[in-house]
Amino acid sequence: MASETPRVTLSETQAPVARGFAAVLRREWQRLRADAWDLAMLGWIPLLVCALTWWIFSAGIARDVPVVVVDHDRSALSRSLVRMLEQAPGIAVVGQPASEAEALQWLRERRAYGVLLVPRQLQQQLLTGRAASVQWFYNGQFSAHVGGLTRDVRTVVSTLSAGAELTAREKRGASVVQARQQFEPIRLRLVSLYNENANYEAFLALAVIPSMLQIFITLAAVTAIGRELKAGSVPQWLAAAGQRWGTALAGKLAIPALAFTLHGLLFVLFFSQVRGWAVEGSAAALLVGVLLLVTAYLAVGTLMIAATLALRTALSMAAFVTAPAFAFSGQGFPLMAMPPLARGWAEALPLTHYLQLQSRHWLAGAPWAYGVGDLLVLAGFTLAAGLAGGWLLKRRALSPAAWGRT
Amino acid sequence: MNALRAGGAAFLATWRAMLGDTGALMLLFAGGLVYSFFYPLPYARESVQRVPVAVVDQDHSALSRQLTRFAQAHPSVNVVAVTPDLREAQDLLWRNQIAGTLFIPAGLQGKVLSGRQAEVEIAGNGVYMMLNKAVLNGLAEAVGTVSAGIEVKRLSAASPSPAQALAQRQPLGFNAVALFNVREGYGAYVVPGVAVLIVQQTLLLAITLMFGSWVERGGFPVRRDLPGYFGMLFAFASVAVINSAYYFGFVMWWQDYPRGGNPLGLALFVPLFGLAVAAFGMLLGSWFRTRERSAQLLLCAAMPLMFLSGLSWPLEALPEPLLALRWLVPSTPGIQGFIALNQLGARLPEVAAEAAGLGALLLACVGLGLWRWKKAG
Repeated sequence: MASETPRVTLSETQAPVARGFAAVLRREWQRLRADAWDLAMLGWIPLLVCALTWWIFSAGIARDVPVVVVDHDRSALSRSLVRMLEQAPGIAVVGQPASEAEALQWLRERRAYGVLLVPRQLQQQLLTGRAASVQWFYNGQFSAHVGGLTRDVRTVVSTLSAGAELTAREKRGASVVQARQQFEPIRLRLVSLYNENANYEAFLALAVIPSMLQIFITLAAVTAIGRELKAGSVPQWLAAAGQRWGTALAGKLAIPALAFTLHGLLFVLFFSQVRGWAVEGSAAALLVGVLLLVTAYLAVGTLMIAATLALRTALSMAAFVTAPAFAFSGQGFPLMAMPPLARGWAEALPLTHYLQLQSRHWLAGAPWAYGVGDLLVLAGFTLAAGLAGGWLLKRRALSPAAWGRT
Repeated sequence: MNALRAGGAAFLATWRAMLGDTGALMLLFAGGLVYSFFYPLPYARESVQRVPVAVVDQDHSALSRQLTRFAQAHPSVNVVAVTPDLREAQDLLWRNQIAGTLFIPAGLQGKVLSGRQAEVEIAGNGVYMMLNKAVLNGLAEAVGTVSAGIEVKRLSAASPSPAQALAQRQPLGFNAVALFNVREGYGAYVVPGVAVLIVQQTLLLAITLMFGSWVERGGFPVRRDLPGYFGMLFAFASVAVINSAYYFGFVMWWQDYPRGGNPLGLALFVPLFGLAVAAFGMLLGSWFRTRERSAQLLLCAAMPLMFLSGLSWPLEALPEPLLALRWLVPSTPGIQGFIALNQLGARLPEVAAEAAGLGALLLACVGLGLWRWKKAG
C-alpha cells in the first residue's frame, strides 16, 4: 500500500505508530500496576539489592583483621614488634598462643587469618650482627583478607629491620643520612593508580552493582514478553500496537528501559556525588555506556524469550548467562589470564565491555575517545540481539503452539 | 510406625514429583553439573603471569637498561614497551594494553654512582587488583634485585665476607608462607565457596518452583500433615546431600583444589546443611503462588549472599546489623563450615559455631514451615 500513495502514508503511518506505542505503553502500565511483584522487580527490589551491596562494602577497607603472634623470643624486640603490629590500622593482634599447633587452631577456626612466628633468640642474633627472620603464615584460602594483611605485616617487619640496620650503621660511624642512602641505593616508590588504598567500595561495589542491574534488566525483558506468551495474549498485544512488531516491542520495553536508566543514573549519582568517587574521565562516555548497558540487556532478554518462547526456559537461560557474568567480566580475575574459551565467553557478554568502559572513564580518568570501541560494541549487542529477537518473535510468537508453555 | 510409613511415602512421592518435572530436574541436577564446569572455567590458570607493563626510561643509561632487563626476566611481568614518553604509557594504560609502568627518571645512574638518593617509581592499575599486585610485586622484586646487587658490592668493600654483607643489608628477614591454599589459586579460593552457594540456590529454586506450580495447579503430591512435611523435607535434603557429594567428592578433586580435610566431619555437616536448606526452601516456597516468581528473586540474591558469607570480603568490614542478619540464610554458616572442613581440614569443634548456626536455622525454619504447611493444608 505504501507504494501507491507514498505522501499520504507517511503522515498516516506516523500517527498510528505513536498511537500504537501509547496503547501498548498503557496496556503494559496497567498490567504492571495490577502485579505488585512485577512492578517491584523494576523498582524497589533492584534498589534494595543494590543498596544492600553498597552497604556490604561501605567500609571500603577492612580494618583490624585478626592475627596472632607466636612469640618464642619474649624479648624487648619481639614486644615492640607486637606493639607495632597493633598500631597498624589493618591489623588486630587478637592472641598470643603458646605454640604453632595452637596458632593453627586459631586459623582453622577462622578467628585469625595469619600467624607471625618470632623465633627464639631473635633479639640476641640481631644484637650480635647476624641476620634472623620471622615467619608469616597466612590463610591462603581467604585471599581477600590476607592481601592487605601481608602487605601491612611486611611493612611493620621491614620498618623494624630498617631501624636495626640504621642503628648498626650509625654504630659503625656513618651519619644517619649516609647510612640511609647506603642501605638502599635505588629507592622504590609504589603507586596503585586510581585506587590508591585498594578500597573495595571503588573496586568491588562499583563493579558489582552494574552486574546486578544486568540480571534485573534481562529478567525484565524476559518476563514482560514471556508473560504474553504464557498467557497466550500475543494477538491482543500486537493488536494494541496496530499489528506492528517494532511498536509492540518498543512499547513493552519502554517502561523497563526508563526504570533501569533511572537506576543507572542513581547509581552513578550516588557514588560520584554522595560517596565521593568523582567521575575522573568522560562523564558523557560513562552515561552513554549506562544507557547502552540497559538497551543491550533488554535486547539480550528479548532474544532469549524469542528463541525459547517459554518463560521458564528463558528465565533459566537468563540465569545461566547473567548470574555468573561478573566472574567472567575480568574485574576479579583478569581477562588476559583466562583460557580462550572463557575469554571468548567473556567478550560475548555486554557486561564485560561496560565494566571496562566504566573503570576507564570513572576511576582511571580517560577521555571519551578511549570509550568509543566499547560503546560501539554495546550498541552492536543492542542492534544484533534486538533485531534477531524481534525477527524471531514476528515469525513464531503468533502461532498458538508458542503459547502457554511452562 | 504408621507415621514413619506415611513419611516414607511422602519421601518417595516427592522424589517422583522431582523426577517428573523437567524444570525442577534441570535445576536440581543439570544446573549443578553444568555450573561445576562453567564456573571454574575462567580461573583455569589460577594466577596471572607475564602481565604486560611499560618501562618509561628517561635515563637511557646502562643502569636503566639493566633495570629493564631484570624486569623482562621476571616471570610476573612482560615488558611490552620501552619509551621515554609518559603520555605514551598513559595511552597504553587506557587501552588496557599494559597494567603498570616502571618509571626511571633522568639522572638515576648519576645519582646511584655518586651515592646520592635515587628513586624509581612503580605504578600499577589499582582498578584491577590482581594485575596491580602482580605488577607491583614483580617490578619491585626486579628493582630490588638490582638495588641489592649494588648495595652488596658497596658493603663487601667494607665487610670481610659476603654473608656478613647480606646480614647487614637486611638484618630482619620476612618469610611469608601461604597455608591451606598454598598455591594461592584464584579458583581454589572462590569456587569452593561458590559451590556451596550453587547447592543452596539450585535447591531453593527447585523447591520454590515446584511449590509455585503446585499452587498454580491446586494440588500437592503429599498430604499436608506432619509425616508429609518431614517426608518431603528429607527428600529435598537428600538432593542437597547428593549435590554436595558431587561437588566435594568429585569437583574439588577434578579441579585439583585443596580438599578432603575432614571426611568424617563432612558426613555430619552435609546432612545438617541439606536439611537446613530444604527447610528454608519449604518455608520460602509457602509464599509463592506462581511457578516463575521465585526464580527472579533468588537469582539476584546470590551475589549479596556470597559477599555476606565472609569469604570474599572480611567480616571485620561488614556493618554491625549485617553481621547478625547474615545468619538468617544457610549459605552463611554453610560456606564457612564447608571451607573449614574441606580446605582448612578443621575438626568438628572448630566448626561448632557454624553447626550451631545451621541447627538453629533448621529448627526455626521447621517450626515456621510446619505452621505454614498445616495452615495451608
